[in-house]
Amino acid sequence: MDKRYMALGTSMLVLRLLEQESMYGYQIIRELERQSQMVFQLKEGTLYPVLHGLEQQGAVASFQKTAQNGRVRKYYEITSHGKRLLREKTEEWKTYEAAVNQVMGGVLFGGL
Amino acid sequence: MADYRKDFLETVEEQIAYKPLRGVLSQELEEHIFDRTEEYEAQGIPREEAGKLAVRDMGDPVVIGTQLNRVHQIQKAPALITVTFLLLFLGFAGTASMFWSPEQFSNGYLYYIPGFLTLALVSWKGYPFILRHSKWLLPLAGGLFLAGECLCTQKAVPFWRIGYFRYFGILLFAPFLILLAYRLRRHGRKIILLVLAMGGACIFLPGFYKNYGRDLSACAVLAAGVSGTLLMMNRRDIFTGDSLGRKGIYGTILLGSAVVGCLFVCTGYRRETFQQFVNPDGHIRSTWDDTYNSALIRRLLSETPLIGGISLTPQELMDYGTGAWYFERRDPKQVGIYAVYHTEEEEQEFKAAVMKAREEGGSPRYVHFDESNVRLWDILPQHYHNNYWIALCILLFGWLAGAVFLGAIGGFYLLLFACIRKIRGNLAFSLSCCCGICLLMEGILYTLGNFGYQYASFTNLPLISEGRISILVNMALLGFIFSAYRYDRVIGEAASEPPKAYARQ
Repeated sequence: MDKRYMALGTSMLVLRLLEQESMYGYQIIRELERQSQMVFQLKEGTLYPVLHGLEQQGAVASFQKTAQNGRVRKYYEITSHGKRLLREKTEEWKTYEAAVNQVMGGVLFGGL
Repeated sequence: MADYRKDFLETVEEQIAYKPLRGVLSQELEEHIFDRTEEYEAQGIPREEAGKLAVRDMGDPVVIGTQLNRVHQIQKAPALITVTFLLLFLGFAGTASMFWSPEQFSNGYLYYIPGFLTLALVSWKGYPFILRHSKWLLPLAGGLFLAGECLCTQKAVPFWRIGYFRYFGILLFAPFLILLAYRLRRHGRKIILLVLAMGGACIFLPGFYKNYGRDLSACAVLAAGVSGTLLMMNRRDIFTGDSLGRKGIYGTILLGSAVVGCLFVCTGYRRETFQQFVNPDGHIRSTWDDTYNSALIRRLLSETPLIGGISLTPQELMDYGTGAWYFERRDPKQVGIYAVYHTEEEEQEFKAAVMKAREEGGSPRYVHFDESNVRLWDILPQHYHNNYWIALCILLFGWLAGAVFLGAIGGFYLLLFACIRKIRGNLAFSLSCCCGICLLMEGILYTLGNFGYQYASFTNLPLISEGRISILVNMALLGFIFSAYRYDRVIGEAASEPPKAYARQ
């Protein structure tokens, strides 16, 4: 897939996960793998430019929290701007998905 | 494992141009590697191997570092910086070269040197300093302001000295209130009302012991800066934790701002000041009044052509210089008295004329010029420093030149707010917005004064007409915007507490 679309898709998925709860980077990767049943397996470090980019856009905000093992983790939470962005991206995705289904469906029907 | 991890992190760091950021980014990635290593170890993989795998899973450190560097860039605003320096140079050159009234021998141009240094220093260190020290800066600034306010109540201190410092204290109070609102933003409407109440108290209380007009223009700047910024903060959903929602918070800010606005007409003196602003012609008593200056400047501007300066005969110049054009038919005792005498007889004539005018209740100017030597400079409003730069440009070079001058000022503000709009960090945006609105409001009040609608005393025109010490305050405000814009993508707030929404989970 085109890297640009890949990045856009990753942003949408990350925002969707953060809509459910605030998470730190490692947790996002694991949750993404779990919810996609291991379909989405990123090179883990590439998540951080996406997260930082979303933070720059104001779509997510971050805060630090100390875990029980004493490790300080940087958590990300979705902002209201991020929620709006997610809604827009979801709509775009649905339009794209519907268009693909129509074309694929049309080819299939034509072949019958 | 340590070597793999260290190599990986060092390679990522090498791609990051802004060195102070390297450690922060590296720490987050390192935490991730530790988590992944622990997971592999839990699966029974030996520690060394687990570390290797964890680093491998991270991906290419050059790609990650390059992508992070693309996100975290120091921002430059070459167009804004160029226009700022051009206007600063114009202000410096103008203040240094045009001593057209005795009041202007104030060496105001020398203050451009510390002004420039303040701009450079605050641009370089301002935002990082506020981020690092806001916890103790807030109580310190609040304490200093309160101490200053208490000092104002002491009659032993000359009022003009108080006014001088209080003016700048009020201007700097605006970003202080916004910093407070930001720090306590999770209290929603409560903090908005508190901030507006504090701003209102700053505007309202001094009216009881000082009717010093210069304060009112600073108060107008404060009110616009705080209210405008609160609205912009709400537009960005910075106020959280309030059941009212965004529209409800807008309503709270507008209602609170309306109450604060009422404070500008809550006493007789303030109502009169406001009436003088909107209807200067109805409040002219003598040539010493600011309202007379407003009428004079409007009259002169109306006679200025599109191209080329105003052209007046010596007779017309004398009419304007003495105030005869306005007062001869309305109140002749206010017309200026010729005050140059060479003989004892002429001196007696002058003194008799003064006595007569005073007995009749007049307070005429003493005119030190006549038709043979009167100049345009002699008839312009006699204010301190450069209060009429825009009007002067139109009078000397015509309306077209004035429009170009106004366009340059407008261009500066457009570039300034374009930068502010691009700032992503909420604290950086809130404070920059406040500083920007304060600078804009000063410019608006100054420009209105140049077209004959002066509110209270003249404000400064940032960069161009700075008077003296005011340049330090305006350069600090402007420098902070530069600094926030510059570091916006590389320095973030280290929020150490989870927001309420997360804490509830």
